[in-house]
Amino acid sequence: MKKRYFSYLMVLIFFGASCAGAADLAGVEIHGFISQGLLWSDNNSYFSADTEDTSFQFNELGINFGKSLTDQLRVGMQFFSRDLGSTGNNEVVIDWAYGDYRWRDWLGIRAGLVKMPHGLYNDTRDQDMIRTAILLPQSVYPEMERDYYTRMWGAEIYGNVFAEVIGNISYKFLVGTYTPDTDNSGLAVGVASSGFMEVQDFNHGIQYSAGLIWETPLDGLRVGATGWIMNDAGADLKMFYEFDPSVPSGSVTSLEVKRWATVYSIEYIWENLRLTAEYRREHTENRWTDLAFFNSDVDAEGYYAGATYRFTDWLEAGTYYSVFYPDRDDRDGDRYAAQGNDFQAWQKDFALSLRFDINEYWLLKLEGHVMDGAATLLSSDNPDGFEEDDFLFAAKATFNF
Amino acid sequence: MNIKKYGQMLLLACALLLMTVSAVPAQQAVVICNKTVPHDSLGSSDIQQIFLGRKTRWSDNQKISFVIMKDGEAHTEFLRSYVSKTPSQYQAFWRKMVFTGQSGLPLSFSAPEEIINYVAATPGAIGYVPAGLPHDRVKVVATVPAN
Repeated sequence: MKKRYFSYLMVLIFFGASCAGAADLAGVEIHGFISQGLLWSDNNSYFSADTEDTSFQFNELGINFGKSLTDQLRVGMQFFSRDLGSTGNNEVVIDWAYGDYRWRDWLGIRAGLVKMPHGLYNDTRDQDMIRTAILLPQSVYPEMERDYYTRMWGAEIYGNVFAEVIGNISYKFLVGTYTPDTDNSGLAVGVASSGFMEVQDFNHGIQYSAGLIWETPLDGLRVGATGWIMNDAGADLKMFYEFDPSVPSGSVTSLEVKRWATVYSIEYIWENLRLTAEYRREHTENRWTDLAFFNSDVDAEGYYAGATYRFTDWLEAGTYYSVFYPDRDDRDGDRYAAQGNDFQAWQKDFALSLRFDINEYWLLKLEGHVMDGAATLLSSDNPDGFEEDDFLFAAKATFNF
Repeated sequence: MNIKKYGQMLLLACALLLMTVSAVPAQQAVVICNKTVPHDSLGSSDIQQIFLGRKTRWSDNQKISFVIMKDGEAHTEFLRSYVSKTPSQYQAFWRKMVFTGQSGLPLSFSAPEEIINYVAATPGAIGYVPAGLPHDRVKVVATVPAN
């Protein structure tokens, strides 16, 4: 869907905004949100945006329609548009669209474009009004890699199982596929950042995903495990540098990728206090068709711990400390040191957030990040090189109905 | 003012205070159901599962239609006692359900009388209202203690 529909979406959004709460047309519930933010950083630029000069390329816009056709059958879809630096670019996409047949409370099936489980907060990563922080911890929810684990065309079985003794267990199993848009994907931007190649075409093959959330008998405590795997993904890459005479500059070669990730989560809520910790492991196997010397097996690791507290109806604060290693076997950066900067081996982030709920529909957030390391930075965003220590400021306003 | 009159006024003030205190209900709110619901009482876990959208049918397979208050002290105390969430956490929970397509928003009313009217008229319905309101058209299946 092209940008010319963006204006139609805006009209729909503000039409809905004139209603108190959700709009409802012939039994179809309509909800929406719009967020606009800014990013400013001291030394490095982030997320394919020129944050050193203050970037306003930071927004999300969504509108969804849902209707229960029977007591057990529901259909719905959400249109979505986002911009973050060079990714998204406000192309309007379908965020999710599926039919949901809930045969029993413990077993249902969904089919269509479904959201993938990844940690506790991935399925609402684009809805700013649902959490305290502006930016989710990049150690577990990397923005530039979101296309691997946001949504898929496929099917899902899900359910809730409850017993007094064990608490509540929510489960979901998904199978499907999703091919990112090469023009707007963070993955494509990351590849192009090297300057040596660009993505011509993606192929994500079949993906499997699962999530298990256990709300324990201890009030407020839940633990979770989520994961996904793709065995036959890949990309066609156009080369701009001749690494080998068999692949001259300007030619296209293929990369096959096997990738899996798991996230383990724990969250405890006591009245207005929320404590969360999550840990991510990700394994990637790259196999080049023509450039075997680039083949690699890499294990990335990330984790964070955070807390939020709601002081009043209109004020909530949060903080987290996030750590990411793109290669857990080189946490000290010895391999990166040989190429120049050992601190490219890690990204440590201490964040502090303030959320102001102006009313039921509007909210404003302010956030600061003290950064150590350059593991998530792109060379194309930082042509003059990286600085180890940095400060990133974010602000965001959101309207939702 | 002499001591006798002062004492009488103090006694009157205490009596008025006691009347006020005794008028405050021991319960903050009551959980009410339509009279077709096949239960005369409900446990806290059942109520929690219902108001989180996880339990959708009664034991006789009748659809559960739950309704909530938009705000107020009874709303806050009900959520604290039975759902273990603050009003903002409960709102965030349902926003997540809506914006991931899993559900629509729960039906909500500002006035307790509207909740009583809805529950009384809707087979399988359940809601909660401040204690002390007339509710002879519905049945009480649980109480929310005052904090």
